[in-house]
Amino acid sequence: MRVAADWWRETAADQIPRARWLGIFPRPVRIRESSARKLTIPTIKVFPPHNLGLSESEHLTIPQCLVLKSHRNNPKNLMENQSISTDDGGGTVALAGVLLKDEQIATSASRRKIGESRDLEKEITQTPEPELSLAKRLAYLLQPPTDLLLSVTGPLEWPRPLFEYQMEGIKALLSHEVLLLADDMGLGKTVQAIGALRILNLQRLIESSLIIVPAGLISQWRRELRFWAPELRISTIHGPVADRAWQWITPAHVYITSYETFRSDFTENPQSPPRRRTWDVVILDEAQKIKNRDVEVSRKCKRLYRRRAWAMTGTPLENRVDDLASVLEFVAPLKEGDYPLRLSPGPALLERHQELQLRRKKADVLPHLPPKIISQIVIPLDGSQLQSYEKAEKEGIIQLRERGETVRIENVLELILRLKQICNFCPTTGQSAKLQDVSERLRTLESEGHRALIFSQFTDEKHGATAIAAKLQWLRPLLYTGNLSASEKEATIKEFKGNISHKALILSLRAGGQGLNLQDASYVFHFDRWWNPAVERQAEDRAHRLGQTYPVHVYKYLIEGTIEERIDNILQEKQLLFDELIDEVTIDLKSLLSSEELFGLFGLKPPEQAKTPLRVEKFPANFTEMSGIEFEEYVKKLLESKGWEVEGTPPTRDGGVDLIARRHDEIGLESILYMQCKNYASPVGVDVVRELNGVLPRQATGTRGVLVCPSGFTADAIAFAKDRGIALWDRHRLFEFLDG
Amino acid sequence: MPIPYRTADELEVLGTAGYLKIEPSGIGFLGALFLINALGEPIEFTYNRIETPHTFLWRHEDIKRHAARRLTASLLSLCPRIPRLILCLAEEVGSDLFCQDLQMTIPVCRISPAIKAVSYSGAEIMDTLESEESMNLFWYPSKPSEESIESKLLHELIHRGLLTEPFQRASIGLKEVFGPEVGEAK
Repeated sequence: MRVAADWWRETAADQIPRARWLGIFPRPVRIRESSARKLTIPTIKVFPPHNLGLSESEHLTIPQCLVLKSHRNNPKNLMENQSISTDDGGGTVALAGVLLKDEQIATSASRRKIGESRDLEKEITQTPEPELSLAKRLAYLLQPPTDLLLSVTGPLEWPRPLFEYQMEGIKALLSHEVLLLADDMGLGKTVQAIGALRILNLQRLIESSLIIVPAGLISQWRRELRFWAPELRISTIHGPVADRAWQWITPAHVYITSYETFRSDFTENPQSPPRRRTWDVVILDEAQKIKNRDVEVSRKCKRLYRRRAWAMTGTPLENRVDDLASVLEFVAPLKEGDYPLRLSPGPALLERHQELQLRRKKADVLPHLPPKIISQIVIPLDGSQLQSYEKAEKEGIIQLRERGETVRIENVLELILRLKQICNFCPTTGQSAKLQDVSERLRTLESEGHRALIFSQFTDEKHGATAIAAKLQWLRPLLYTGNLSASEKEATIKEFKGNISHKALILSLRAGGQGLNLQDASYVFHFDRWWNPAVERQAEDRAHRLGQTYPVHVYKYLIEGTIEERIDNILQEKQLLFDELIDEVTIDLKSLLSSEELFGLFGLKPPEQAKTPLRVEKFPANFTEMSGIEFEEYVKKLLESKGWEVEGTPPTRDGGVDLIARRHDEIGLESILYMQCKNYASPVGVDVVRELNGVLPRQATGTRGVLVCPSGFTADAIAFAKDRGIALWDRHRLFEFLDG
Repeated sequence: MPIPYRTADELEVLGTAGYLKIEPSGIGFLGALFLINALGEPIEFTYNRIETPHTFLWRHEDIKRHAARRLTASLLSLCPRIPRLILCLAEEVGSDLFCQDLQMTIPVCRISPAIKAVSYSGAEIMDTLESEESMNLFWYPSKPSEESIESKLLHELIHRGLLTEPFQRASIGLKEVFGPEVGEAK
């Protein structure tokens, strides 16, 4: 019997309801009920209710575990004077405490493509997971839709409107257990990650997240979390061991720690705090920190038990294939008892990279972001600084020569470092051509109310950031280097943001190049240059990011006729290569200079033992630097690495064929390639193809002529080769071949 | 037990709103009382259905009213929490349900787009909500005072785009419980 509570009651509940039969005659239901079957009185069946609610006590004793209480009421007829209905048609489901961490749900979600949003109507028809309890299915379906949650006018009241691409990024994170978010710096990767965490928490799909970040970014993450997800509880794990012990067990939605702290706290003891649970989400910010799979922190990150793994980086392809493999090894869930994923370079890795990476470029998604104007300032040395430089270089070269065959690459690097320091400041007088120029520019900028970031790779008081700060005191500069503690770093950034009397922030490239939001400055100076263009760009993007309202001017200093200029030439070449390759998701960027390049900076040749061996897995920066023989050797090694047996023909009697490559396939058929290698600077013409065609064996099954030239082929050469079945391999084909 | 939000206390004070959904189905009517908090989080979903065979012999309005009464009474009787207020769509729920058939101590609000003509009782208090889509609100027994928690809850729901959206979720829930074929009206 239904019982009315004190907050509602049914009026005249004891009266027989009346209805108009045939639309005209009012009849009491009682009469119809008495002869219901004969008079076809509407049999209004109210199905007996049952309860699928959750018991609070069960929640308390078994956290994260859903147990149905299942106390069904006996079927009863809620219709007076009616016969019994036994269908279980009604019920109630308590949804507030349901945690939806079913793998079935997560798996179906992970099948969605990047950018594809949740379609509830579709999901209803596709919810073929009957093994899930009704309570869980309902709790999932009755969550606010993602689009509503992402809306500024939606339940979450985002403090600022999200950009369209950020919403897409959040949706991608929501629908993917594993993702490499590799947006350009400054596009708001942090916001996207927080947005996704916020929604997943609200939808009860997760309850514990671990964010591992560089130490200097912890406070920034905290600020962003407070701002973008104010309802989430955060536990920051830092400080002494005793503090960290309770920080790990403090109930929180999000745990933030640094790579260093995480490395300390993740021990071989399975009960060490980070290992004690399976995390619903683990986020690695600046994931390039784990690019080396052999370092301890990298191994430990991959051993974390996790349902979702998101890696974030603005430079995923910074260096080598191995780096990417290492990062992608983390981008995978790991269940208790499983071993971490191990990936090898190769096509599968590239495929996985393409599948898991979401990367947007600023120019594509933020056409209205103020431009970044890069200027290179080339200045000469003079006076004592010039004398010091020339002396140091001369003496350095002599010392290198004196070492003879025992000279090592490290000796060259030492000399380069020394010369770069002198390019910053004269070691004897402290004179600095760069500083003079910077000062002049900053005088004008300061009077216009602008503020600047000055990056140097050095931190010391003779050649680096400290020296710069000392000589620019009139700007009230602040210093941000790796020597500062995390709290000092935080205080410095806070002071710079909050106090506009500080006109400059001087940062060491390593400490300040990542993660900081410094839109308050619109001028960036690279006091000295770095080897890696990606690192420089990352530093510049501290200022050139969301929230920047002025064009960002970047000044890169270069001392004319010095090692810096020579380095810059190589750097520019690499920059081109980076731009060329990154969109093709090709990864093998040459991060290190070859010994030939290094010694070449001083007009020297490396001794035999210091020569960089030709590595076929390495993309050559410039084929034209190779001699014909070297190029031939390169192609030979490339083929051999792919399982071909290759023999070279004598140079003078090759008859138009340089290499003959043989391979047997799975069923024993032999393929033979007759190859001509031309390392020309310009496209090869039809004559060369004709020449090769003339020496190919006729009607030989499984043979093919191949002409290789990195610079490509003329149109008539292509047409001629096509008609005769001759393969033409240009630079791109070589890369593909390498990838494949 | 889920970790409470930092804003949990505020949410707790505001309580829940109940969305009463009654929709015709192939065999009669489906009903749900869907409780959400001010953040839009689902809290409780009470559902039921009734069958009304041979309705063509009976005046539809009578059967509908009768069904709504029985259905709503069964939902209210089962709902373990008391919502701060109940919201329903005027096109689904007639004024007689709460003005005559059931008596509530909490405010009930029937909602209708202002451009749509719906009948309402003289006992109801009409209010117009000016937003992107202008809405008429019919309150019974009375409109909550501006300072009341009920009013604050309603404002939160309106502000967060949750005035009518949960009805769609309730409908989805009914389809999940009873299957799409049951949900289809004849």
